Amino acid sequence: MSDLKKLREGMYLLPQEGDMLVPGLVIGTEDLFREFELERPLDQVRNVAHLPGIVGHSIAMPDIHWGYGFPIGGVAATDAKNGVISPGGVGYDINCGVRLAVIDMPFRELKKKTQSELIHSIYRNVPSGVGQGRKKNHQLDDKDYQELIQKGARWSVEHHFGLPQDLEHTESLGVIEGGNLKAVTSHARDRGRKQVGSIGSGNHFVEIGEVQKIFHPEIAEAWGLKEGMIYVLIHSGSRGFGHQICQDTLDHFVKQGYEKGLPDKQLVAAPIQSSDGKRYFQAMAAAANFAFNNRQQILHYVRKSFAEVIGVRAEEVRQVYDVCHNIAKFEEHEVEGQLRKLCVHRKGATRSFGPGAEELAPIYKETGQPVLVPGDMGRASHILAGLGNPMTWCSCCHGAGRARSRHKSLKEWKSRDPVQYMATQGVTVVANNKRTIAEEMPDAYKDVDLVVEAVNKAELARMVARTRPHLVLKG
Amino acid sequence: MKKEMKRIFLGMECHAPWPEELPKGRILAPEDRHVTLAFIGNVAFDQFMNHLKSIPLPPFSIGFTGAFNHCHFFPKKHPHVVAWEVDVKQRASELAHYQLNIESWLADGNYHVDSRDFLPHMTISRGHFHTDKWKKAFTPLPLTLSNLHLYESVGSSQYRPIWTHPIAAPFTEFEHTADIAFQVRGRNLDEIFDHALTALAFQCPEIIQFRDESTSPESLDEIIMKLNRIVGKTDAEVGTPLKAVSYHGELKKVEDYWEWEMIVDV
Repeated sequence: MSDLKKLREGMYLLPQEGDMLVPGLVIGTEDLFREFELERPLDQVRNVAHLPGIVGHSIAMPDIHWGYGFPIGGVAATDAKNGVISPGGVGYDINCGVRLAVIDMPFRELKKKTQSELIHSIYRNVPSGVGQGRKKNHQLDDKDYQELIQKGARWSVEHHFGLPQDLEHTESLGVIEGGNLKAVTSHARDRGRKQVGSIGSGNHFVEIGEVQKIFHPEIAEAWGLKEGMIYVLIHSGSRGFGHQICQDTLDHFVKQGYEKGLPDKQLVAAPIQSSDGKRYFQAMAAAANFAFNNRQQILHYVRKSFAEVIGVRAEEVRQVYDVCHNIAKFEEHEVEGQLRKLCVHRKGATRSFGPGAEELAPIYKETGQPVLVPGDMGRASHILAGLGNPMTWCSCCHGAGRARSRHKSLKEWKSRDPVQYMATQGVTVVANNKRTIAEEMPDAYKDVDLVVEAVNKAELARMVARTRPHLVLKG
Repeated sequence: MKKEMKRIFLGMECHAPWPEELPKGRILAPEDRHVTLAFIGNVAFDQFMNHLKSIPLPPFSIGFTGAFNHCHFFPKKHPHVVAWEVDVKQRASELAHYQLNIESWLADGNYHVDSRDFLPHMTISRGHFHTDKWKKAFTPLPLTLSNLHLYESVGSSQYRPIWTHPIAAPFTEFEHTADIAFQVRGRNLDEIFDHALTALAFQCPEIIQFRDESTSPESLDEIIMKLNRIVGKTDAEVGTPLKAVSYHGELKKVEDYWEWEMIVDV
């Protein structure tokens, strides 16, 4: 198991070596480490430890896998004054994230026919898959861009794509301050113009199912979660808009030679206080606000389908929370007894503020914030409550993490019908093409229960509820 | 003793992102799809294998990329073969020249030589079919040609390679847990770019329409930037599952060509 040293249950130290500026910290369990190839992602954890201004540890979550520069499931905090900001520490899909809503109605009350009508209605209302987006009259012009970048998800709510209470139940109230359209190329705007309110492709989805098990009755009650009730989980990000911003920045950073001295060019990073660093943050915040609007509008169209098919009012599809899992944020954390402003990169990692955290809505200030951990489309997802663990800068895992490549999964399912198989497991899957479904089959992912067990043991978050999917719209 | 006769031909393996559905016909299995360089016919096998020792080996160690650009029906009167024409672009003369060498070598051994001009194509279907349906279903697709084989026809449109001269594929996909990864090969930066773009087109054929014919790349970074401009344009116009080609890896010299590990974020 590499040269990891156990610090405590669920937490391992990757010793500092060579030019690493800090040691690594790996969250996991021995069971989990045996399940997948750890060496390449651990090399990336070591590489991240070379970033100028990094503080504490280069951190890996239990859903870690090989990513772009940073591992997916990686967390790194750099000093806001003297450190760097790295687009590779955020990822291409800026503010990819998850939104959870619940309906106080048992899932079992939905007849099979209604379930089918519901998922097909969502399929019609929410564009999904490659090249799918909004029609011309719903596309963003530069004025829209300007406003949604400034206002975040509030822009969609003001345009009747949601409810004011959704905002309070969204990380950072659905807005990252500092977004600037001037920092975004016209190419990025063109890529995103018709994509707000669409899922995209790959591992993005809308999922409906039932809350299967409650682990923490007090918190579940405070959040209005009941066993058997219907939940909606939305997973999407900033689409082509964010991808292009990431790419434009990487091209510029590489041309400027910012990768010099780093062990991997993909970690290319500019000083936060440089004009290039500030410009990236402005563009990244713009993409993050685009993504908040994207999930806000997807939820709006899901609500529309619930109203059309089962007559449920929008208010009854109650948003529990919305989290980012590809983001860099300025946060204050205690470092060696002193409060310091840090730039926390979470790439495939979720913020998990604990009870009492300033930013949280009153309901979550009591309990810690909801941490949403989607698993795979066959087994389960988890709803956790953040514990604000300072060792990880209040961060937690973001999903199950892939265990098998798309290529392998496609091969595995080539001669079988994945849709039919999922139906035998009690899950109706709808998608634009079968290839995506084959790539995303449950056996392509680690067991999310094991991932969640690790963060629970490491005291990053506690388990509140487990959900079970029944209807899935894939990108 | 009776001589063992075999129906044989020389050809190159052909790969493409094959459509999931094709019109009706006796469709060749993907592993049997090839581009014939020379049809030799029924010959005394031992005698031919002796002649094979002197075959002119290809002057290229990396295969071709290109596209199917036309759907043909052979013969023109009462067709029983559907064939897709293969265009290997800038390297067409290289392939044609080698094919001519093979024909001369066959003629030297008194073997059958086709008198018609060489038209690189891949037979996709035989038997009875509706030409209109095949015409309508045809869309240009990217392709690669690699490994030179001596094939034996074993009946029912199935072919068995009985001798192989390895020619490296322009790219091969390898395992990457989260993204898509390719080993891309080329003799120079232009070829690395071209082969990398074809690898992307195997994932998203639409990308080829947005190919930028501007200046030749002068470094691997420029190749990555050029590829990403194409990915971005494709996404803006028609959509693509590809996010971007990452700044990963470096060019490594292998024999007489270069290799690059290309990782594509999806």
